[in-house]
Amino acid sequence: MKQIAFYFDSSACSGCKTCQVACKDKHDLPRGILWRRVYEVCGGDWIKRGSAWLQNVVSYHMSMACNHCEEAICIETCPNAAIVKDQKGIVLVDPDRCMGCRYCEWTCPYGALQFDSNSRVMTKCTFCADYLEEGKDPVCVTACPMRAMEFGDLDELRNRYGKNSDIFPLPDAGYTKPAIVITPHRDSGKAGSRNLHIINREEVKPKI
Amino acid sequence: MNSNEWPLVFFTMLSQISVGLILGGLLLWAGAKNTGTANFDTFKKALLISAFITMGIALLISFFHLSSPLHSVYSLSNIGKSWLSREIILASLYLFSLAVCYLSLRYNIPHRNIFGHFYLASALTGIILIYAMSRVYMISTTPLWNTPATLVAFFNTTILLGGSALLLVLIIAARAKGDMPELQPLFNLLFFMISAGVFIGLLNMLLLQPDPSGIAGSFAAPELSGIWKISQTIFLLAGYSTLAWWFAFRMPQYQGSGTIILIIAITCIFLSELAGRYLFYASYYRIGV
Amino acid sequence: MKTDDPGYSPPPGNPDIVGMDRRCFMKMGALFAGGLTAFGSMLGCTDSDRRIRLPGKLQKDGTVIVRAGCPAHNCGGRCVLKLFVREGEIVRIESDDREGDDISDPQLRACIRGRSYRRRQYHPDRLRYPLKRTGKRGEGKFERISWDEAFDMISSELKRIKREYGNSAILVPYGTGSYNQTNGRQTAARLMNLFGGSLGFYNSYSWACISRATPYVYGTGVTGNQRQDWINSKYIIMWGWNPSEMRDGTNSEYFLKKAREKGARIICIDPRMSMSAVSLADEWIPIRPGTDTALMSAMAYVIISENLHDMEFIKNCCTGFDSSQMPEGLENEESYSDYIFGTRDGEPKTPQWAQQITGIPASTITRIAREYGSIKPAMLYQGYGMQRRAYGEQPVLGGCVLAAITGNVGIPGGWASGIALQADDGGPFWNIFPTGQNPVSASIPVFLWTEAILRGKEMGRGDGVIGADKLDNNIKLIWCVASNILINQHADTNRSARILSDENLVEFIAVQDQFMTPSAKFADLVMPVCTQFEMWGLEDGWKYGDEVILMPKVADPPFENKSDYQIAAGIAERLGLKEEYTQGRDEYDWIEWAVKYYRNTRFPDIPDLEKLHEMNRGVYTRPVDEPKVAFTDFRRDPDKHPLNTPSGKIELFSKTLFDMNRPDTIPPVPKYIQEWESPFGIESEKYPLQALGHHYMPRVHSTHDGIDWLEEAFPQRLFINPLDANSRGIKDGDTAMVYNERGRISIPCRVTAKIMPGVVNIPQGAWWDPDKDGVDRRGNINVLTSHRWTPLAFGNAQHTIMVEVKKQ
Ligand SMILES: Nc1nc2c(c(=O)[nH]1)N[C@H]1C(S)=C(S)[C@@H](COP(=O)(O)OP(=O)(O)OC[C@H]3O[C@@H](n4cnc5c(=O)[nH]c(N)nc54)[C@H](O)[C@@H]3O)O[C@H]1N2
Ligand SMILES: Nc1nc2c(c(=O)[nH]1)N[C@H]1C(S)=C(S)[C@@H](COP(=O)(O)OP(=O)(O)OC[C@H]3O[C@@H](n4cnc5c(=O)[nH]c(N)nc54)[C@H](O)[C@@H]3O)O[C@H]1N2
Ligand code: SF4
Ligand code: SF4
Ligand code: SF4
Ligand code: SF4
Ligand code: SF4
Ligand SMILES: [Mo]
Repeated sequence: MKQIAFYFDSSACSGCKTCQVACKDKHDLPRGILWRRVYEVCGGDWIKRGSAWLQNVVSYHMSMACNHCEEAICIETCPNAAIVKDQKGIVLVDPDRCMGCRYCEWTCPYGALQFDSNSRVMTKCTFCADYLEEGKDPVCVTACPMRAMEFGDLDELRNRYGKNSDIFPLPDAGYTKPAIVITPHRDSGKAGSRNLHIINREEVKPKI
Repeated sequence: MNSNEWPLVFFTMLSQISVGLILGGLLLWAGAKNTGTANFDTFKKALLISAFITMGIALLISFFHLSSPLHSVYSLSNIGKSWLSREIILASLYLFSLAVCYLSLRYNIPHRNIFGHFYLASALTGIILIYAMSRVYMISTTPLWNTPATLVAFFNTTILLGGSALLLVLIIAARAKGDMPELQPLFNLLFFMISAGVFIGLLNMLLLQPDPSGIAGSFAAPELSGIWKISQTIFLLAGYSTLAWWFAFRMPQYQGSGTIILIIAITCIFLSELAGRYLFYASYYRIGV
Repeated sequence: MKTDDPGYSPPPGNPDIVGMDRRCFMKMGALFAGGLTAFGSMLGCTDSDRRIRLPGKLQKDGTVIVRAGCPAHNCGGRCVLKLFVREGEIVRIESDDREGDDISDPQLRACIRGRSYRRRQYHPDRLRYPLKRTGKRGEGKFERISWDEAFDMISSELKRIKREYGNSAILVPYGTGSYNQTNGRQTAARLMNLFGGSLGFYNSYSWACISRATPYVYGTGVTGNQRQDWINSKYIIMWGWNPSEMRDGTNSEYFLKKAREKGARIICIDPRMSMSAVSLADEWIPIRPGTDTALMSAMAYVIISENLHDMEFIKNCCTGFDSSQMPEGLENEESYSDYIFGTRDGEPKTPQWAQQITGIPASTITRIAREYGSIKPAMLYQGYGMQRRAYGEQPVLGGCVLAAITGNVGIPGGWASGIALQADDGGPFWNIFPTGQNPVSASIPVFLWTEAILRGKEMGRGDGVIGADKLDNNIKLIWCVASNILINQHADTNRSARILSDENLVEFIAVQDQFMTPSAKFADLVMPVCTQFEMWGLEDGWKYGDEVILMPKVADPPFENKSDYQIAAGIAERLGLKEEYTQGRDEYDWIEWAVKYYRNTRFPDIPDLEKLHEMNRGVYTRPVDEPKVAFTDFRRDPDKHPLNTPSGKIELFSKTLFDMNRPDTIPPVPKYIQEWESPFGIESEKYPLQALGHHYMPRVHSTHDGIDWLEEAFPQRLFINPLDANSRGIKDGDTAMVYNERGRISIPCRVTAKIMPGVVNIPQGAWWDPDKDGVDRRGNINVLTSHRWTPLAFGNAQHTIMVEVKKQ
């Protein structure tokens, strides 16, 4: 089976969040729901040596939606079988089946599932399935001023850009086998040594 | 912890109490047979009603926790994979089984010992239910939950609160019937059950509880507030020692101030468990972003 | 500004494009819901004023897709939006989808603000009716009046002020809310010029120093190559430049990405690790704000001492490099090299010296100097933030000189630095709506308008007045269009508020806006303006670009909103100037006029308006295959193509500046001068932190403040280094009070290592929102800024301030 996937170039992403808002506009998402959101990662320290400031600060961005995982834990956990994978490999929530128990939200390690208290069901990135149907590209991909995103067949993207799919702060790809290919930012390897962390927590609103 | 998780706190605790009641009843049933003391029959109706109502309330709460409750008709769709689906069906089966037991008593249906079979079935379903309930939380992406401590904690609550609740049921039933000194050996059994619960609870707290500080991740692991942990321990010890004192000196006087002391003891134990359950939900931590 | 073309009359309407009003359109939507072409199929719905005319296919769901320019605020970009319009409402916004997206003609992809425009367009707080002040000035109490009353009110006040004081008491202040021709301050400026004029001003809040200083070195502001040339560069210094966030022309950040892909090394010198530093640079070099000229001087020291400068270019094309190159009669004055090596002041500008000032390790300074001196070709691109500072002229001159001595001028992949308008024609026009000549000849530096309120009659050359020796008036009437400068964007908000609330100073204030802005609250008359989707308009690039973007009207103005042009025309009627003002044109006609104007100037091949609209691409572009390089001719033959400087060469030493005889503040060679509010001054004892207010992603200045999707993405915060936060007991998310002598702000903190210790940042543009104690609750940095101006350009130095922060 083919698996549709995102490609994300973290080395070129400026964190401008145009993708985030493009998605909100396309899907009319209220404040608080971010099918795509952008994590700002930072680490490093400052010290003063004489009159000079020394620093090893690192930073980069991760734009993240649902990764339409090959082993989607959300599908496994939903009691209602309201989350399904379609023929293209898109993972979709069926609002007519979802009972809003919010269990899946606990399990997805990408924060993709977001509860809409108006429609009272779980929502998430649909890969703009309606657009794909019409032969158009997902809006977040075409929105990016840095042209830092693409989409396509997972294997093809891997052939072109390598296999990386779990730079910090993403979980080990082994958990769900996410359908994403990432070009890492040069700073992403410095997790341990520089105390990397997400510094824009309030903007990405993790539901804890 | 999110406020929308309070219903889950009560759902899990109440269903564990219900199952605990049934399991405690089983213990007393066997105990009564062996010691030849008062008949299980004298309180089995009260016991069943309590277990049924507790579980009923639990399910009701869980139902209201759903945002689109009408769609719960699909909740058995994923029994093959989803522990939540399994939990839901087991909870329903358990309640059904309790209902059959109760009805067989109410309408006095002697047929093939329906009561006995269904009582055993309830106990068994209950145990599996508690197991499934634990598994619901043992998600690979939530390392603080995905440990045997969850399983132990849920069964521990079942024993501890079930035993305590049964004690209350028994007292109330006894009060209704007047002084029943022959219940004493059963009280001893229950005391044993509760003590086991306390012991396991303490062991779980000391040995099995995962340490959130060990987790490094994108979002810092939850800070488990000391106040809750301390209250959990203090309430447990206070409740248990009061209970022990009651057993040692006041047990026969369940007509009067003794009951109040007993109620205080059991409330303390309940509060301790509540704090523990709060901590459990507050320790929600998922890997990733 | 080229003059009006009164002889031009519009061609008759093209029958292929048919106007329709909204009702009509809905009817058609219902009739042709099968996906017919909306275009051309609705004769009979023709609307005589040709208002809403949507090209494009009618979709099944009743939507029509119209490509249009993103409202032309002063945002740093100019992009194409793809509007989904259904029953007169914009229901979705996407962006440029032209095929190809080639570097010679890349898509003009919108940013987060353009994509979220629906939230501004349909914001519940949009103004609805003309309003008259009822409470005290600035109190924000108003009552609804009719347009007739509004027009009467402003026109009678204009006449009164003209009669009592004269035209020079009228000001149409700086305002950058709209550059789409028929909305914006230019519409008011045109009327005032017909009315006898108003007080002139020159310069901008954006780049006062850089536009003024660059010509002292190069004789022109057109010092930039076309951007497609950037991919030829091998080394790029983004000096205080943050194109990822402020764009500096749509696609600038993308061109840099391409340059990097082709092997350019990019470094970023900025006190903040900006979005550009993160996504475009190979290295971030944090610098103490206001010390750039020290770093530049030390780089020159390394470059010259290690012989990395381009001696041949300096010989042929520059003057003032050393004592052998000094202007006649000034041979003994301090040349550029003299300053660098300290021959006169005894202070060689070594990396060690610069380390003490800039905070950058000397070894780093030496390294980047070597890199810039030896990697060819190289670009030193200057942002505008560091010239919006005390002595902001100096880093401009310093950057130009560095580019010159390394020989990076006039070559592909190089960059002359300075303001760098695009070769070879200076790039986009921004405004072509003809404002005509101002009969009032006196002009003040734009930043000094509050001075002209307080002491206009005392202002002369020493205050930067040009066109007259002295002003003959204080400002008595302000007609403020598309601007939030009165309160929010000018320095020292509390001071501005004090001045404006005094009705004896300015006697009448009218504000035209879409929202009740802090400035509008100080108006006597507020007039509601439609958005740029609700009228015809047209825009070109922001600083760079080779395109014209169409802005067709797609929706009716809600309630009683009118375009700025309609409002000006209404006032013109009361002043008896309607015919002169409108020349019989509505907005559409003016846009037709504007397209023709482009045909006569930059784009001879541009189709006419009807055709452009019918094509529905949103934009007419001229692809750039061979990017132009500034100073090519000059470099080839400096004698035949002399520069417009006194010497005809690149002036590393300026005799003109020397003759001003103010060596401490306006030296003839670029020098580091300690700022008037500095961590090295005594003021730092009370206020130890330098505060920046950078141009923030979710806003265009104050425009877009309070839009939910934008606030969610980029909340207004104080950015502070962990060291400064810890020493003040501040944790991430805490609310802090930021203050100095001029005011106080209460604002939540974001603790981040991405800003240098000793520096905090409150992104500029948040709406001033004082509580009863005068503490601003929203975080408008101008509460803290100083209205002191720079010595040469009379420019705003709003980035130069010291503050203290304490936990609340
Ligand atoms: N998103 C957005 N984009 C915009 C605008 C907007 O409001 N929002 N406004 C537009 C307009 S009108 C203009 S004029 C431009 C303005 O563009 P700029 O003036 O270039 O923008 P700023 O953010 O003021 O400053 C740019 C950078 O300079 C840094 N800086 C400040 N002081 C110093 C210093 O002393 N030395 C050095 N090396 N760096 C320093 C800041 O940290 C910032 O990252 O932006 C345009 N683009
Ligand atoms: N501290 C500090 N202050 C600064 C700066 C800084 O860096 N630091 N930057 C300065 C710079 S570079 C600039 S350019 C100025 C910008 O200052 P302003 O020119 O005042 O720009 P805005 O704040 O965007 O205000 C524009 C107003 O126009 C309104 N508007 C938008 N579209 C239209 C329209 O079509 N018609 C009408 N009538 N109104 C419209 C908006 O609602 C908004 O209120 O700010 C300056 N102020
Ligand atoms: S990212 Fe989360 S929601 Fe999406 S498929 Fe994977 S597990 Fe499911
Ligand atoms: S919230 Fe909906 S989709 Fe998620 S697990 Fe519950 S029923 Fe399934
Ligand atoms: S693919 Fe569509 S739904 Fe998914 S994040 Fe992108 S825009 Fe949103
Ligand atoms: S639009 Fe592109 S550059 Fe901007 S945040 Fe999204 S992925 Fe990054
Ligand atoms: S850069 Fe300017 S023109 Fe382009 S989308 Fe953003 S706000 Fe609109
Ligand atoms: Mo500006």
